[in-house]
Amino acid sequence: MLRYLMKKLLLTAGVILGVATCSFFLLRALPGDPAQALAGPQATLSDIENVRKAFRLDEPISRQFATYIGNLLRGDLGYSFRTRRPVMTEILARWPNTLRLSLFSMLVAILIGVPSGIFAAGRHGTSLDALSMTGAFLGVSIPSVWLGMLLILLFSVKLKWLPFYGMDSLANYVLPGLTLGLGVAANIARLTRVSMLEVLGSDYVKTARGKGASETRTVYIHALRNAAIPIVTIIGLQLGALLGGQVVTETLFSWPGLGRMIVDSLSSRDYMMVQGGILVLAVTFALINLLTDLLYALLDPRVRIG
Amino acid sequence: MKKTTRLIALTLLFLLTLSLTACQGNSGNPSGAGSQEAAPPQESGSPQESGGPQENISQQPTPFPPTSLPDLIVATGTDASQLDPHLCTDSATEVLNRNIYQNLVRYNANMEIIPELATDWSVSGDGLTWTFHLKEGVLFHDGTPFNAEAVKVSFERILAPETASPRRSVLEMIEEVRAIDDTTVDILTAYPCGSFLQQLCHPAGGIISPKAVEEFGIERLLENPCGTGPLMLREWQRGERLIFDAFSGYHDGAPAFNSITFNIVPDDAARAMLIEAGQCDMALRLPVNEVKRLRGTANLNIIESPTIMTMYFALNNQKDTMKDPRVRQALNYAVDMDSIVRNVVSDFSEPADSVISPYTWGYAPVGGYPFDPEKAKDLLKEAGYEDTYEFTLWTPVGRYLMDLQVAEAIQAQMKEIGVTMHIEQWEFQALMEEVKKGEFDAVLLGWSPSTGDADQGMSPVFHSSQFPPQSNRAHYANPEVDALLDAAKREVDPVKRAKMYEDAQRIIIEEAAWLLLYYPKQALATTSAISGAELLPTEHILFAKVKKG
Repeated sequence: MLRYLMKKLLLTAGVILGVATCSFFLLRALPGDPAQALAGPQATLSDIENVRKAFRLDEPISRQFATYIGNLLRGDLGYSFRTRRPVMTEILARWPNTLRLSLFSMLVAILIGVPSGIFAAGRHGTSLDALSMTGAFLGVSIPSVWLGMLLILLFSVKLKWLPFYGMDSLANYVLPGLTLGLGVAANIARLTRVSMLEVLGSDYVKTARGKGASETRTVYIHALRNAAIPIVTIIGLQLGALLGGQVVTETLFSWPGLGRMIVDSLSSRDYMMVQGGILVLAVTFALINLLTDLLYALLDPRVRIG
Repeated sequence: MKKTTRLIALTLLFLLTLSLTACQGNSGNPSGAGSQEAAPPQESGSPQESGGPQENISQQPTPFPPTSLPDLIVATGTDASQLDPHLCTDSATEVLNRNIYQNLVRYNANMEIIPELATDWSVSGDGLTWTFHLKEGVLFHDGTPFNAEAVKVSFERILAPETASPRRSVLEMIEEVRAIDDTTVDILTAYPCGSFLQQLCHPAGGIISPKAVEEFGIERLLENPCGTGPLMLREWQRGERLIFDAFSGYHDGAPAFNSITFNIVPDDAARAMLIEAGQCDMALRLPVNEVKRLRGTANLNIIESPTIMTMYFALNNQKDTMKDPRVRQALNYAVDMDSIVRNVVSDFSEPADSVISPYTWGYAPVGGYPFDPEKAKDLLKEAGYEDTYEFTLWTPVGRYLMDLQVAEAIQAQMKEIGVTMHIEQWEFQALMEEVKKGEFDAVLLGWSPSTGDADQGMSPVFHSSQFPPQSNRAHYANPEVDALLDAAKREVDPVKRAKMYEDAQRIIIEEAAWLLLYYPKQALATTSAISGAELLPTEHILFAKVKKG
C-alpha cells in the first residue's frame, strides 16, 4: 500500500512537471504580447518596455523557463502581471470558493442522481423509468448558462426567494449549486441506472431475494454496493470536471473562483496566473484520481492495491 | 472493511459541512463581513498597525455617527487590479483610483478643466514653468497634510525608473518639481507642453500620501492606497468585492454616505438583473442590449452619456489597393452611419464627424462623409476599380460596442455599391500582435485618448513617426499633418493650438485616413433614490456627491 502510494505520488509529481512545462510553452506560443496587453492598446513603446522590464519578459525564454521551474520547485508560483501580487495569494483567495461550490454541487448531484438512478432501475421498462431517463437526458443536454439564467429569473428576480450574488450564506449556494449539479446529477443517474440493472439481474441478488431479504435491503445493501464502482468512478471524473469547468457559472453568479480567474488571465495574457491556475487544477485532478483508486479498493474486496 | 468505508464517508461529509458552514457570515450585512477566510493572511493583519487607510473589519468604522448615512452598493464588472495610480492601466481600476486619489486639476462632465487640489495656476511666458497654488487644509487618508512636497514626491515617483510605470509617458515632459512653499509648487517641463493641464487630469497624475509612498514602497501600496479622495479602502475581498468608507476628513464636504461597496459582477446581464431586483444602488458599465431593455423601467434611472472614444476602421494607407485617397473616400461615402447608429447600436452612440470626439479637447466639427452611394461608385471608378473592389476587414469580437454586428452591417452596405468586404474575426490580443506587422487592408478599432486631449487623440495615430509597432495602424503619413501636430504639442496658447488641430483634422478627414464610424456612449443605472454621481466622458465616475433619497 505504501509503495503503491509512493509510486502514485512520484507519477503525480511527473505529471505536474509536465503540465508546468506544457502550459509555459503553450502560453508563449499564443499570439499576443503580455506587455502590450497590460500597458493597453494605446500605450507608447517606452511604457510597454517599462512593463516588459518590470516583469522580466525581456529575458530569453530559456532563462524565463529556468527561473519559473526553479521557483516552482521552491513552491513559488511567481507574480501576477495584472495585480502584481504573488500568484499563490491570488489562487488561495479563489481556490476555496471553487472547491466549496464544486463539493456542494456534487452533493446536490449525488443526492438527486443516485436515488433517481436506483428508482429508474427498479422500475425498468415502465413509463416512470422512461420519464426519469428523459429528465436525465434533458439534464445532460441543457447548457448551464441557460439553466442558470432561468433559475435566476425564476427564483431571484420573480419570486425573490434566493440571492444570486454573494457567497455569505448557504442560500447563496443553492442556485449555482443547482446550475452545476443538475447536469452532473443526470450523468450519475444514467450510470447508476445501468449499473444497478446489471447487478439486479445477477445471481447473488436473486439468492438474496430467495433467502427472503426485503426489497429495500436487497437493493440498498446487496446491489448498490456492488454497483458502486462505476458510480464512484464517474463521481470522481465529474468532480474533476466541476473543479475546472465552471467558468460560465462562476461568471453568471459572480463567483470568484479559479476557472474565471484562469480565463480572465488568459485574455490579458497574464502568463503566471494562467500557469499557476492550471497547475493547481492539475494537482487537484491527480489527487482526486488517487482518491478514487483508493476508494475502489475499499468498495471492492477483489481490487488489491500494492 | 465496511467500518473503514463508513469512516471515510463520514469524514468526507464532515469536511464538506465544515467547508460550507465556514463561509456562512452575517448575510444581512451588505458589506459582507462574512467570507473573510478567503482573504490571504497578510491582508488582515498588516494595515492596522501601519496607520494605513484600511481598518480591521472587526472594528466599527469610526468616522461618522453611522446611524443616518446609507451604505451604498455598486455592481461593477471587473475586480480592481491594484490600487496604485502610477501602475494602474485598466479603466475599471481607474474608476476606483479616481475616487481614492485626486489630481491638481480635473475634468468635469463637460470636459472643462477645473481645480481639484490646486486652487489656481499660471504658466510662464516661455511656457516652461507652471505654477500651482494648492488648496489648504487638505488631508490624506492617513491624516498627513497635503502640500507641495506631496506633489513633488508623487510626480518624482511616477517618473523614477525603478517605478517602471506603464503610464510614465503621461507626465514624462516634467523635468523638475519645486516645492516653493507649502502651498505653491512650480513644475518645470522639458518643452512648452500644450496639453500639460490635460496630462495632469489623467488618473496617473493622482497624488499619493508621501508617508504611504515611504512606508509601503511599490510592492505594498498596491493594496494600501492612500490619497485625498472621498473613498478610503476598508476591505478588499479579491474577485468578490471592495468596501470603501467615506473619508471623514474629505476636504470638499463630507460625503452623504457611510460606505460604498463595489460588488464584482462580471456578467452584464447579472448586473442588470441585480439593479432590477433592487439588490444594488448602482450598476456600472451596462452594455447596449441591457440599456435598451432597461430604458423606461420604473424606479430606475438609466444615465447614458458620451465618451471620448472614436470607433473607426484603420484603412491601411500604404497598401496598394488602399493607397489612392479616392478609394478611402469612396468607402466612407458607402456607409450609412446614421442608419447603423439607429438600428445596430440602438442610438447608443453618435455618428462620428471627426477623428476625435466632441468631448476631446481640440475637437473641430469638420464633418465626416455623408451617405452617398453614387459618389462612392464614381470615386471607385475614377480610381480604376470599375467593376469590383474587395478588401478584408479584421475585427475583434466583443471588445467594442457591437463590433462584429457593425462590421456585418457595413459589409451589407458595401455590397450595395459592388464592394466585397470580407470579415476576419480575431481575439483582441492576437489582433494587436498581428496588426503590428502591417499586413492588413482594414481593421476595426477604437481610440480613446485617455488625457482627453487632441495631442493624444491624434499624434499617436496620425503622426508618421508612429507607424507600427506603435499606434499609427493606418500607416498614415502627411508632412503637413506631422508639422501641425508637432507645433501644437509645443504651443501653450490654447487658441492657436486649437486652430492647428482643426487644420490637421480637416486634412486627415479629406484624405480619409480612416473609415469613420461613431462615438460610443457609456451607461450606468441607478435606483431612482440615487443622485449625484458624476459620469465623465473619460469613463470615470466621481462618487463624492452621491446621495440616497
